[in-house]
Amino acid sequence: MRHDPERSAAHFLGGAMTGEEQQSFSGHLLRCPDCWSEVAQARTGRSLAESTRTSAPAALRDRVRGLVEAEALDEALDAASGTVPVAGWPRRRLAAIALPAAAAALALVAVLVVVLGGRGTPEPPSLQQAVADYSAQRLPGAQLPDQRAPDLTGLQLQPVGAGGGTYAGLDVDGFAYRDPAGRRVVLYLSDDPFPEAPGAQRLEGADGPWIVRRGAVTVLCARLPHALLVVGEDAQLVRSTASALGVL
Amino acid sequence: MEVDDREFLEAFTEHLDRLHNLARGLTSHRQDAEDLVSETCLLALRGWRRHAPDDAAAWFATICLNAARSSYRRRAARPVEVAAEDWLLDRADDRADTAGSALASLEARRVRDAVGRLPTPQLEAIALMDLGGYTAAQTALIVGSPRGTVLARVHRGRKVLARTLADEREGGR
Repeated sequence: MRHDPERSAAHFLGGAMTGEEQQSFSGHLLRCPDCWSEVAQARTGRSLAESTRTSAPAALRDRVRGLVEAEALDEALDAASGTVPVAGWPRRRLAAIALPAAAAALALVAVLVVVLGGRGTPEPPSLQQAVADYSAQRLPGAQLPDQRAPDLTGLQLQPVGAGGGTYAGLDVDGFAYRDPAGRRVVLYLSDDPFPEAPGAQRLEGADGPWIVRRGAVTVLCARLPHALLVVGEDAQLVRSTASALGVL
Repeated sequence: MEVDDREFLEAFTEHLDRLHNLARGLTSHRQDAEDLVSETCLLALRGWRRHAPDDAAAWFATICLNAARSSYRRRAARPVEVAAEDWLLDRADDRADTAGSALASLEARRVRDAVGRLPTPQLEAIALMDLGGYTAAQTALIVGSPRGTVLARVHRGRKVLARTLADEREGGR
């Protein structure tokens, strides 16, 4: 057989040789620098590629579960209503049209709740934007923040994103975190104080931090030592985060 | 949720790490990889309802590869959250406990960049075998090429990776 180091090495590493061939090639390797080099380089390349393997992030696991549950719900709704998906329009595409309309209606309700719930005082735009971005899993912008993400590993919160931008004239840095259970908290830091939300509950003194609920989202705001918003769906985690940062 | 959907979710979740690694190899950005896995999940679920496959691992990977091929994810630009991860790691080098992980992350990024520059057949073979952990036989089935061809592609890709990374290290000294 013709001596072909590349082919032999590929088959040797790929487990494509019989036991006898493998034994014979192993002996040959010790005497043939070309075949040795082929095997050594490919092993190095394989190790390098394998070293980049990671576990799927918790957020992706949640997303997959959510997709399957949403599909199951679509299926159940179709079955219950007896509707047949329009030809050429899969349910998901119809949902893509219907969901934004529903979201717009919900947003209108949210605005009404904010305006009316605050006895006519409108929600400050910077807070509206922070809550909307939190819900949409968006950061204030793509600029590099002025500082590193505060260390919240004591709460098992790992940074998953950071970006700076502007909310209604306020320069804001956003830092997104997740804990192992997939719970999300976002910190918004600014050099200037955030305006108080209508209906906010004061936690300590006249200048102390305040807390408010907007739909499923809890917002905690402090002015000292930094202008800070802590936003999350788990109210307890929001308070713990504020406490870990020394503002509660 | 129907029993079929529950079984699907269990099977898909079982293979999620491999699919995620495969998707990372087939795309340039973390967010694109997650979008690709999500798309794979939806396509696979609809197929699963019609007929559950014998080899779920290879079947999911085939769907993932076809979805990656049919879109142009490698060229897609996605700003916002993804940009931050690198920033956080790059700035963490003044803390002894995170310096090691920051270096490991930089090395992983270098390797991923080098994988991304491989010719597509080699890239797909490396993504399937070395990142996704699929066997040569499964990979041959997934890409629709003979096993010998797949072995040759992955071998050449690995050699290019080894040389590229060695050259980069030499250049960095």
